[in-house]
Amino acid sequence: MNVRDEVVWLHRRAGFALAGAALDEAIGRGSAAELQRLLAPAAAAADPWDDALLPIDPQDFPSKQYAINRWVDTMVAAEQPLVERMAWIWHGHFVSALDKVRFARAMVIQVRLFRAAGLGPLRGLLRAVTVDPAMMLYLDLHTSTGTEPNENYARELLELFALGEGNYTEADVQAGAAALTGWTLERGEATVQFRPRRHDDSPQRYLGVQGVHDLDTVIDAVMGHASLPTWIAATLAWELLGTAPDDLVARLAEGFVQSGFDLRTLVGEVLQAGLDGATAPIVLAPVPWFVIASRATGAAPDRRTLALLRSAGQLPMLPPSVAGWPGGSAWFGSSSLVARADLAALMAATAPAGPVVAAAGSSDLQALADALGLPSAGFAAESQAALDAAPAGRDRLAVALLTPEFMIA
Amino acid sequence: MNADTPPTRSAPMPGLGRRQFVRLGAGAVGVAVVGLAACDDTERRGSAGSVLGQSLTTTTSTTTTAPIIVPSALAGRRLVIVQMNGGNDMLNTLPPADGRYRDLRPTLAIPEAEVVALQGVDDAGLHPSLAGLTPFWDAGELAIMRGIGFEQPNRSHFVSMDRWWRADDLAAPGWMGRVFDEMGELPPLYAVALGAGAPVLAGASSQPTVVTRPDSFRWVDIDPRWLAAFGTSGDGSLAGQLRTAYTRAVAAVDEFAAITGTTASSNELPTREGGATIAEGLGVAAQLLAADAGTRVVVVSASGFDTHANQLNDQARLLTDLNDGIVAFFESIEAAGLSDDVLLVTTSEFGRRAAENGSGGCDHGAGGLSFAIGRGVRGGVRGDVDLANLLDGDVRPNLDPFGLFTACLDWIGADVERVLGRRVDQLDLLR
Repeated sequence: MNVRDEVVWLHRRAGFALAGAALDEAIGRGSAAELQRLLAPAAAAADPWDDALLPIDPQDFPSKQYAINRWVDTMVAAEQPLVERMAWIWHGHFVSALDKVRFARAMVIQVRLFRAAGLGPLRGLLRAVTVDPAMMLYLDLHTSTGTEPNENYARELLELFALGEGNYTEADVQAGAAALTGWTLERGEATVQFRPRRHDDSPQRYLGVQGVHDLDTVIDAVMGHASLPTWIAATLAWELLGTAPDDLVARLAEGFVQSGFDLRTLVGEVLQAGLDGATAPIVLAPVPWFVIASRATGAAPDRRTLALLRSAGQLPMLPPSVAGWPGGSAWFGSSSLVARADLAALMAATAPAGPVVAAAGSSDLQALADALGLPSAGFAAESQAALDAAPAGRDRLAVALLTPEFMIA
Repeated sequence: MNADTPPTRSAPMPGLGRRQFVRLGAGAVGVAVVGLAACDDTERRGSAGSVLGQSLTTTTSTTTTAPIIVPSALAGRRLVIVQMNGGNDMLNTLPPADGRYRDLRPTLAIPEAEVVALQGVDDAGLHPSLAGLTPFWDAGELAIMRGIGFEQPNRSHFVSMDRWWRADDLAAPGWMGRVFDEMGELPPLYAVALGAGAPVLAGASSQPTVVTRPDSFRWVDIDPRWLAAFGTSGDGSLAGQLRTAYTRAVAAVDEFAAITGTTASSNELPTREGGATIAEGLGVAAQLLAADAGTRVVVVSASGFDTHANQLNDQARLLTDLNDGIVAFFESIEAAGLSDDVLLVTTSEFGRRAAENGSGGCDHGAGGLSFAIGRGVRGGVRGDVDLANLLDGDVRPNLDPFGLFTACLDWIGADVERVLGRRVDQLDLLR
């Protein structure tokens, strides 16, 4: 890869891409410097939500739209690209969904956690997400009691969040469920309480560890399990690199353990591996694609945006299942592509005049690819045929946003 | 995987879970295609009107030359699979007349007086929300499979769903998709997934048309001819798959709008939460099946069955949706004169734990429940539920899901052994 392509690659994977002058400046600094800037942002991320607009009321529909819209706006602004990208990645990993959680404040609290702790030590993130209000509502931990434990969270903690299917037994699920009982949510408030009388404190054998009996000993046992570093390293490799060869994952996992399970270190090593060539194409899901396209075109959000994202199959805060969104070619379903085409047309129609719109109005397709911040190879012949089929101008810009070159990073 | 070409491999990567595996997409899975169909195009058209294969592929293997679907009178047959995602609770769907059931479900058991009786069955009845199914039962057109599930159950949603959809071979494409892979080019609405994607319909090279939101399945400010100009690319790269997908979408939107009369959508975020209902999906399915667009296989997906909590209300609502959907669906099918041609089956990845938990719900279990409905079905109950002989607290699976797959493939005339590797005739579902 040349320097431009390295920087384009890095920002499409670890942020929400760059275009125009911002891209030129980043290319001037080079990929090594850009990686360091992404990993160590100068200032803390500002919180985009106003709690006054997030009443704890499951019936309050405007607060749900507000919560989602503000998050999308924050990703588009991407003042700290890697922080925002990691929050998005963790949202698809430690899944909760608004349809079951029901009040937007809880979802916002969870996203705040991902933005604040998504690049910190894994133990802190794992512990916090276990007793996060939205997570407790989504996977029923708040109703799990010592006499009648609920296995929902205990299972997904092991299967999806920390170890991977096949690396634990049904007895571990049940022991974990017992040890995690007693955590409740105050009615009408997004605050968590531990109630000893609802807790089963009897010592369990859990993941091969004797004496596990509460939240901290569960998290310790999970953190100590041999599958955890591999699972987390592989997860981030798939998300950021689009590939996870065994030898690379083993190397990343080893470094992760040595770092004391520091996510910033792990993410840095994953991205460095990508710059060194360990990368495969990633289909941009509707939200990252929309965010990147908004940034590239400068198009302002529209009141139809959320409905179209929903039709495209991906509304933030509403993942379809506890496993998050399926990826890859699953995004090529007809309904999803029709909605993306609508979104592309909407963005093209509302993009302000500037280099991108000007390039779309010219016959120079390489100039259009450059203005959109694509890799230096530009558009393939098949895409050029589609771009030529659309009239020059905003119609052509819409098609450009739908090309494989734009939609597959 | 350093190029834009999916790898070929025979198994999911060791140590990696289902999400990573699925993320690769169906096209990334290595498949041993046993032989491509060399179907007689003329014969197909002759038997199924103008709806079947237009330009069937030629064979690249000499091991098998027989068509995957035998061209025959079965060509008019249509199959609908309802996927109840999340693990529908069998015991409350089909409450057993067994005191142990009431002991295991002190707050969740369906009161005896509310259980809908099934003529000739004395050990179980139907959930009150499913009363609309009794006419099918009385006509001998409803088969109830209780305790269906794999012998060595896995209580993960995702592993269990994969086993159902990929016929217990997690590295293989969907078992129905394997059929389409060998059928060459098909009408755009031949296989349709409604509500969500349907891995069972995804082959190594063939993909169903996925319509998650029928009300907005139309082009607004894009001229579809621009997207058709991407062309279709024969390579398996993601870019090639995307170009092919645009072409499929252009054709599908066109046909779909003509059938369902999709004209406008509000483009507003609906105030109702949750996905499309089963009834909505089956309504669209009936329209597609009745139309002359060559639709032969439809999967309707619905979620919400993962009732770890608040099961009484949630399951009643979901089963009402299923009940209303099925009743209206078969009314439409009857009106279209297709009653002899349509088979509907329901699936769910597992049943739920026999004993309730403390949250008003039930955790993941093993043996589940399927229905098969249609004039071609041999009605009756299959399988047993023995609450005195549970498997780690769950209903013991005693009906192999391969039996249901076999019946579905038989229904459309596919070569079961070639698709599944083995047939299972235990269920004797079809007349």
